[in-house]
Amino acid sequence: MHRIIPTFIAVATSVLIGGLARAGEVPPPCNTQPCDFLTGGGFIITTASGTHDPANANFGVGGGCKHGSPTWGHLEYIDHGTGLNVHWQDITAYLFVDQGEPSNGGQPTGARIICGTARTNQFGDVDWAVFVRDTGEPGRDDEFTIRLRDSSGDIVYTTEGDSDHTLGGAGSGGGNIQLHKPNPSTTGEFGGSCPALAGPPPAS
Amino acid sequence: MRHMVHRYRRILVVLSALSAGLIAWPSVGAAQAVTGHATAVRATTIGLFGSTTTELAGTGTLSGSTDAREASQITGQVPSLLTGETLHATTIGWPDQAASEASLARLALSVAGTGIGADSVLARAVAVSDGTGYAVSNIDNLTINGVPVAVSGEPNQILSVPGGLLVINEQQTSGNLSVVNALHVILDGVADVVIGSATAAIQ
Repeated sequence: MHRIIPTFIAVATSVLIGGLARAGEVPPPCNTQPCDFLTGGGFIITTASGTHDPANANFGVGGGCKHGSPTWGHLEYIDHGTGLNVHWQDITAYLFVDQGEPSNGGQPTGARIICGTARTNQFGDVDWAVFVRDTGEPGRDDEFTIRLRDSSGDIVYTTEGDSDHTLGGAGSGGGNIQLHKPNPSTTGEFGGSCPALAGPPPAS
Repeated sequence: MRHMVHRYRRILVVLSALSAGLIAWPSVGAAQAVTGHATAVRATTIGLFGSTTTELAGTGTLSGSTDAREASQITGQVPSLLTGETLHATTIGWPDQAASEASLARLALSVAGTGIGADSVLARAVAVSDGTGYAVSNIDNLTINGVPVAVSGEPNQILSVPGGLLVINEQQTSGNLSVVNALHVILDGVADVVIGSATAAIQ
């Protein structure tokens, strides 16, 4: 099973351990990493966890903390295997996953999870979570994974079961993800509410 | 072709002058000052009654080193000219840095009988106070009239298209200024279209 599923589960587990009252509330991480920003655009080659033939899925994503709140950013996503359109409505969480060594150019690397709500053309309004990893330059090893959970709490779409989450798949392209350092507006902490991470994981 | 290249060189001179203006901003007394903006599409079409400029997924200009701006669209179109998907643009400021980024996917551009397509287009510009900024473009599966185009990765790769030029990875970087247009189509008297534009400057 790809490592992304344990990562999503690990973050969701922290919700239970934290014992927060609201489902999907995520406590800030135990590390002292200040909140930051992540941006990126491109495409992955996905089967949506084996539900269709490999197809391009395009995305544009941003996440971060601005003026004390982990609610900056956006998500646009289109899976051309099914025609699924996902257009963000709110950002509800920005979560720390891990931090790598700076790239050759000194830019930070690492992974974050961004959560929010969106309107889709196939599932109505959903909660979503994306796992995004910046591995440095070039971006072909960067990663993008998405999960959608509908109002009944069911996972209606996910790429977690794909064998390859890198941008452009086995090819050399696919866009780029960039993790950015904090700016003076990022006075908040990682955290927020992520209902897409609550509830049972996808069937293996 | 020669007169189009000459016109393009005049455009570079204008861009340089604009860049100088950005470098001169802001007024005396300010400490480190940053500016930036990003746009997924900026298209100017020229008709009988003048020109029309359309901007899709534009962030607007950074207000300073504590600002972070974003814009996005699930799909975008300029009627009779182009369509694209998952338009994305961001610009972020720091006391010592500015970073701007714009992208879109599934570009389908048709102008004056020339069709230009790409699976993915991204432009990123970073300006840093110590002068280590950079500009970069990522373009996947670029085609002209259905024929694949080899993207060299070098700045300012110029290709001739009927009636004009296509500039790939158009860059203007100097000191603490970075400007990059991933694709710039210039058809004299017809259209000027930029796909993926990012600007970042600091002084």
